[in-house]
Amino acid sequence: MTTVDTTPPASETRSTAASLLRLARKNKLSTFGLVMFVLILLAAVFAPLIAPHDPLAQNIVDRLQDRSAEYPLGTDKFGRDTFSRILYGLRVSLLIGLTSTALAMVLGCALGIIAGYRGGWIDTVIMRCMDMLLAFPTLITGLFIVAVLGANFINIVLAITVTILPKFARVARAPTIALKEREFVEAARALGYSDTRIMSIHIAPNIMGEVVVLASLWAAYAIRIEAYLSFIGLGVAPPTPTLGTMIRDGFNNILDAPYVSIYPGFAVLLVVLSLNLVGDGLRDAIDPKLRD
Amino acid sequence: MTSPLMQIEDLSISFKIDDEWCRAVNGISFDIMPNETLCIVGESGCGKSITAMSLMKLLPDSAKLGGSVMFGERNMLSLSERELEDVRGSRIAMIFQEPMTSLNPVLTVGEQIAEPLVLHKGMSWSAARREARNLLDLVRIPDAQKRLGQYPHELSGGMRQRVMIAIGLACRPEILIADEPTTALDVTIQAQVLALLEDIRKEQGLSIVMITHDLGVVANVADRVAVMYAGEMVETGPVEAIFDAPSHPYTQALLRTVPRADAAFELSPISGQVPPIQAMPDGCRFSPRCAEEHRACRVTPKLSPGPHSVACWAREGAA
Repeated sequence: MTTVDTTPPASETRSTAASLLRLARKNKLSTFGLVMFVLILLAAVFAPLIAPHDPLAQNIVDRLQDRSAEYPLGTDKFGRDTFSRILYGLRVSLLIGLTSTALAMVLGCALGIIAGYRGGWIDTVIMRCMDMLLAFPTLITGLFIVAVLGANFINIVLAITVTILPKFARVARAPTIALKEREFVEAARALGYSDTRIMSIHIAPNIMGEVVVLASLWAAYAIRIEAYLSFIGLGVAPPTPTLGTMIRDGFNNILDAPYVSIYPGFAVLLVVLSLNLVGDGLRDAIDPKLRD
Repeated sequence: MTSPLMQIEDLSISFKIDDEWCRAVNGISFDIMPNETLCIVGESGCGKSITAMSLMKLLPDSAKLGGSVMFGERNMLSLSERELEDVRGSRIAMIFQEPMTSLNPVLTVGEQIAEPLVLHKGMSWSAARREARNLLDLVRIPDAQKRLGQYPHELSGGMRQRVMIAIGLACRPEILIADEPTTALDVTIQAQVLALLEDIRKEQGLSIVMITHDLGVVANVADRVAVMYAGEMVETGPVEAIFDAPSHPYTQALLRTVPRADAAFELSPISGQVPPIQAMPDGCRFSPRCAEEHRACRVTPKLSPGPHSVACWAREGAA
């Protein structure tokens, strides 16, 4: 029973940091994604410091220009600096995308766990409602909500939340059904824990691995929906730049100045890619079995 | 004569199978005395585990319960879910068979030991964590401080069962129900865990109800034994009486299935099988497998009074 422990007892924080570092070395691609996402976040946060121009300032003389020292990523049809507009657009897009994903994750997981844990008619009611939402194509649901409630920041967040919420509910429900049969849930009941406590403290952390991976994917998707909505004119009202509106604006001149749409499109790609890479890494980091 | 800690009176548990109520446990009565180890033995499917679960009313809603489980002044079977939550884990605790799956894989050992303390005793997390350290010492886990921060998968089976015991003991319960606590462990670890439970029982003065099918375990730790067969209690008594002078034909047959160091005899299995719950024989449920016969076997026998009691017509007036 007694083992000789030769390694000096490391303090907990140090061992956590060390294992994270080991994880980072093991998973280079995710680390790359994380660095990329952090850079994008920083760029969005410090947009006013980085942007060379006012994103709203029009300069008709310099319209539809290609890259130059003055305009790093060219200008749009009003002569506004694309690079500055992307930086500011990222702020809006990220804020909408991440807020709605976080909301959908919390609400969707809560609904999914309750449905899975309680079973019976509660399960049926919750999941049939989710199926109803899933039956509509995401864009249609989003479009409907924004069209009825009006296009502003809160309604767009709401629309995106509602469209991706059922996906979280589904993902949370399945493992909950499996987990509630596990002995540790029975042990928790034997310790006098209430159902609410078991669901929130004992079941929720067990499914977080799967949920977080999905959250990163759906965050990317949420950012795309925001772009779609803006693209068809139901996004945040102009002149506030968002990545979707910028892509749409460029479409009028897609043949003679394709870069007006391409650069914001590329920004969407980078955000989505980095989020997906981060998601994979997070899954490994959260699962204690892989934490070593 | 001390009064019993818990009195189980005419407990019956039924489940609905194919639209028919089947009695998995059929009117059993027994007492749990303070500071004793009571072993409930019997083969698989005889109702030991659900009997143990019903002591805390931990059965699914689909089960129909009858009789009473008096714990102090209160009947556990008629408490609300809310009241039960106050008793579970704080006054009655339970440890399970599978230490591999009974711990939450994503919470640290320290968190899991501290949680019942925070919930039931209203301790702060930091105080509960200090207490968790003491509890790990109590269950003799070396290097307790380091173990607190570890996850269940980092511990061996024996260690995990010790952690389970620590969690069960956290709130100093009066009764600890152990459902086959050593079945999943190898023999040396099994002996260590049993010795630990025995020591803790003496130190803390709690009562242990141990569910097992292993007569070796019974002989080691039990003060009193209750033998169950097909949902009924067929014999109860002090451990010496059960082992030296088993009375019920089932107990006798059960003891002949285990090799003993102090007596030489031919091992013999019990012929036949436990009848399925849907088709229990009338009267004595052991009668179809029993070698002895009595004219009254078609009528259900009652446990005879006295410390060593047996439910068998052929033993009436004998025990």
